[in-house]
Amino acid sequence: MLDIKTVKEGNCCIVSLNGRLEADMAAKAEEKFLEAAASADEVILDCKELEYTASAGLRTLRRLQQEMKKKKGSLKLRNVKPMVADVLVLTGFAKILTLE
Amino acid sequence: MRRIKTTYDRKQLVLASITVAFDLTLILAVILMMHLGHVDQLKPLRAMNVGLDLIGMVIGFVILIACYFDLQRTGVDYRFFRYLVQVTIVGLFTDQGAWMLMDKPELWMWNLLDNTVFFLVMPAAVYFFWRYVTQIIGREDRWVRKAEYWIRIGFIIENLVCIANIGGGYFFTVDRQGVYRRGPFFNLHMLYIIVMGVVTVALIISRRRHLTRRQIIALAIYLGTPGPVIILSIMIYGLSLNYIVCMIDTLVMYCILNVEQSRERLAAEQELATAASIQAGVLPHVFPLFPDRTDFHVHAFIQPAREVGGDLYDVFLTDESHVAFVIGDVAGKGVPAALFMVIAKTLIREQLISTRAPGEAVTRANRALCENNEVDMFVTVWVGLLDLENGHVRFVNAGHNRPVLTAADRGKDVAFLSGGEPQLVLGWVEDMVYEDEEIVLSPGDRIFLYTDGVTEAQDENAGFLGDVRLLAFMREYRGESVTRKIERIRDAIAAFRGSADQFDDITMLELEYRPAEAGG
Repeated sequence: MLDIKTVKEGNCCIVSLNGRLEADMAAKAEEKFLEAAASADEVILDCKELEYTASAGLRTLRRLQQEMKKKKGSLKLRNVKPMVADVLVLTGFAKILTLE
Repeated sequence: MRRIKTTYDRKQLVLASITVAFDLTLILAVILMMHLGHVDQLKPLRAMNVGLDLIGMVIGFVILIACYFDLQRTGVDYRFFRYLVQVTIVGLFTDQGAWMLMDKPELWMWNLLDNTVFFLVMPAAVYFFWRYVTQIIGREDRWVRKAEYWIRIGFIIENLVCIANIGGGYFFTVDRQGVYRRGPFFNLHMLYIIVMGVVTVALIISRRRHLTRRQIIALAIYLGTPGPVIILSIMIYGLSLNYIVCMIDTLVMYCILNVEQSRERLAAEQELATAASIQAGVLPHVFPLFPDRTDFHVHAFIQPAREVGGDLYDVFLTDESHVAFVIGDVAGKGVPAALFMVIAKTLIREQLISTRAPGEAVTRANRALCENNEVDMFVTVWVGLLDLENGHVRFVNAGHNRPVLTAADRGKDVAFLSGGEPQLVLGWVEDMVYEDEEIVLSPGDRIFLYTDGVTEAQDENAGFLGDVRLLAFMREYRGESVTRKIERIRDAIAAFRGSADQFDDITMLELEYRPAEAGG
């Protein structure tokens, strides 16, 4: 299960992820991510409660990153837990992401 | 191999249970009311209305259950269709109630309440039908959004008037004798419904290109039949067929749309089965692999979570003294992943054969994969090239799980292959340069490659198999041949998983270096 909460503060959109970003949740996540990308120039993903991400989840992250790049906005990941951080490092994704 | 995977959404399950319980209660209540109200003593026309209502409710109940099964199987949520069925069931219930409560002075309050709900249901039904049509058309433009805005306002007004009717008696009245009478604005009540009908027809006609012929027929039946019935019931008091006709139309609509979906699904399944066999043919699949080579042993195993998968492995000779071994994992599952996997596997093999250098081969394969990759697919790969003359392995790890090394020397523990900084997955950054790394195998050493379907296999409590268990398996089956060892690990993963679903493709490959000097 994955809960996605979006809070907008001015031109910044904070998306909080709670749970596991499994393959079957990726489409829902992508929809929310793209909504967030369309609505703000700065998107912050709060991963404080994100326990796990499958590879399909990484792909949605990448889509969000590309979307933000296209509109010259910024994307940051915040409070990434060790298990998720491991995946980001292992896939080399951490190198092209902004982690806080 | 074919399995239908179900994912249970807790909210959905709760909603389905509540719905089933609610509708069953309504049906049982009707039966009870028919019994207590002496249905056998009612006038034939009334008794017929009541009986038809009960039949309609049962039909609706069955459709709803079927809808929830469909939802679980296909994941496509036609929720407004379900709401439509649900309000129609309530409509039938109140219609039945109106007849049973009629002319019963002691129950006049119930009668009033029942009729109020009856009047509330119809606008809700047309509203949900409208939403359902916009959903199957699938695109919302400004026209639809604008219409939606006014429709909602109308919906609220209509409902408010229905509630105000309790005191005002605009549409109908129920007096203390339990006698129901049409109010002065009874026909006005139909206004919202007729306007909604016209708007919905306009929508269907203007967007007919987004609908199949079957869908149009189904929608036309729903829109076409209640009209004459409503006119009939305005003319003949005592006849109430609205909701039963709606329910039968809904059933027809469900059947037609379901046939449509089933045909599509059947065709898709056949295509998928073909795709699966094509895909299986792309990977080396005649075991044992390289039976006439004594200088290395290799075995591999793949088990997709669905018909087709995104995992890949490959083993081939680039020349007489070099064997390449590759494993990869495309993000996601199903057909998109499978297509990407076939491209990735082919590119890597081609490039390795022409360059004989993993770093260069992966760099080139990545560049090709990035071209026209609009959907940000990616693949993690581990590509190794073993020089059979000296045991040197040059390899590239592009975002993949670290392999496990098992030394021939029993004094050394099994261990994940340590290495440089992980490199980025393939398919994302076009100008990325991938660097080679190197290790040297001693005779009898083994390298075990796997995808995260192994370590992220989940047991019944959603716990992961994990690295620690994997290493434990590697120790336990250390003495087995590569073939036997992979079979053992496959069984161990299945045992760990128990009755839980397989979420991800599982792939393993192990290569053992056996140069002649080591004595075979």
